[in-house]
Amino acid sequence: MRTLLEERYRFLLRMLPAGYRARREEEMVATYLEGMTGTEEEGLGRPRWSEARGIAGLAVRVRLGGTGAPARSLARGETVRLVALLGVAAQVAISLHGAARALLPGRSGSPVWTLTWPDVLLTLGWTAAFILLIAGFARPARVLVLAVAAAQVLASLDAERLTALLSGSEAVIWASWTALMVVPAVALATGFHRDAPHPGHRWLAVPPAGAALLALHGLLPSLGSVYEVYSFALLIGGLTWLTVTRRAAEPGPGKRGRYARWAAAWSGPQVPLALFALAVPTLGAWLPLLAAYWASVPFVMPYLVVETAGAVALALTAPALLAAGVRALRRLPAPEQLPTAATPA
Amino acid sequence: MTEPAFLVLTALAGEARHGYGIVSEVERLSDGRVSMPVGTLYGVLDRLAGEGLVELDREEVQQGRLRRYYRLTDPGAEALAAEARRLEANVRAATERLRARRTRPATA
Repeated sequence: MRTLLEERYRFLLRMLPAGYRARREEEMVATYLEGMTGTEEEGLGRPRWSEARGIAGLAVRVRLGGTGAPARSLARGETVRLVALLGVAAQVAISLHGAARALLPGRSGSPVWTLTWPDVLLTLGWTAAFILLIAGFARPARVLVLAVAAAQVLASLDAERLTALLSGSEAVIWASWTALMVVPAVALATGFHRDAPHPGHRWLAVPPAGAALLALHGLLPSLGSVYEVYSFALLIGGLTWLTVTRRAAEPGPGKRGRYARWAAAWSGPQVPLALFALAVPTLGAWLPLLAAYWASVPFVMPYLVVETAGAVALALTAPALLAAGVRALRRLPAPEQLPTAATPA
Repeated sequence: MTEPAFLVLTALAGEARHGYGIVSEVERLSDGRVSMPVGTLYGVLDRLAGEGLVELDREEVQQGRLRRYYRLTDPGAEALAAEARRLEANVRAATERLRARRTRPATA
């Protein structure tokens, strides 16, 4: 007969994917119970917090695989890690661009932006979390990024915003804006676990490149929204993957060397799925804002037409990215087909 | 190599062990410092098995409970030996520096 302790331990094991549990549940229960003394009092107790935390960590690592994980689990992990890297790098780029606008003189000779103390702290927070991750300190990066994302969301909730949200007029835009920060932060906190491979130092170049892109965007006639840059960057990335990267990885004559290695590294499902995950909140914020611009401008401006065309193109590309990513993911062997321990001798 | 992975490989270096056997041996090897929750143990075993450093040895049922025994593979033994050499070199360097520090005359 099962004790209450065993029932509670089995309940905790429900955090694990069904396929993994089917193969490991009895073994894990046996290992856990063998370490117990077997007294009646203990049988009525609860598993320790450290055991629950160990199972939760295992549940994350099994779903979002790292080094040594089965192919499909690894691809899911790579997707989440790419969402984290792209999303957090974008936040750092936006922060660096804002800081540059506050510190450097604009066309009028004085800075065009005023930094408040919360802005300074958030800029430092996003930047520190990103650098810590790339420097190999994933654990403090995970804690810091969640704190910074939460602080930024809370800082945005002033009385005026709360009134607008309660009336429902800005709910979709605000939720999408929030998702663009919270989703990458949560992705970083979950995807960069102990078994996750190091992202590589090349990622350090991404935030300055993003800030330069934002500065260039500021020189062009535009509506001045960061979503313009987000939507065009995601559109170009998505179209490049659908038309060039995916095909470049297919075997063929003359496909050798660094180019073939690059294509093989980026042709997996993680790229289209990560771009889709970032495209959804971008469109969620940008399409209602564009509609509001169209309703308010007295005449049609050429850049409004270009930006609307870009947003519509991204809205059409996003489902294609999702479909291609899911197809590529399904082609990989399912975790259940691969033993996580080697075959019996 | 993380410390839990190093200790699991060390625990399996002598003989094949089952889950609780590994947990208790790791605790003994670390003088009680490392107490490995079961979820953490299987995360480490999954990764080591995925890298071909450990493999399943046999299955037994004892008192109605399933026991799976794991053993070190040859690549696992090589990886453990390489990590032990690296740690040994670090320990030797630290010991020599500390000895030199103790023998150095105190400065005012």
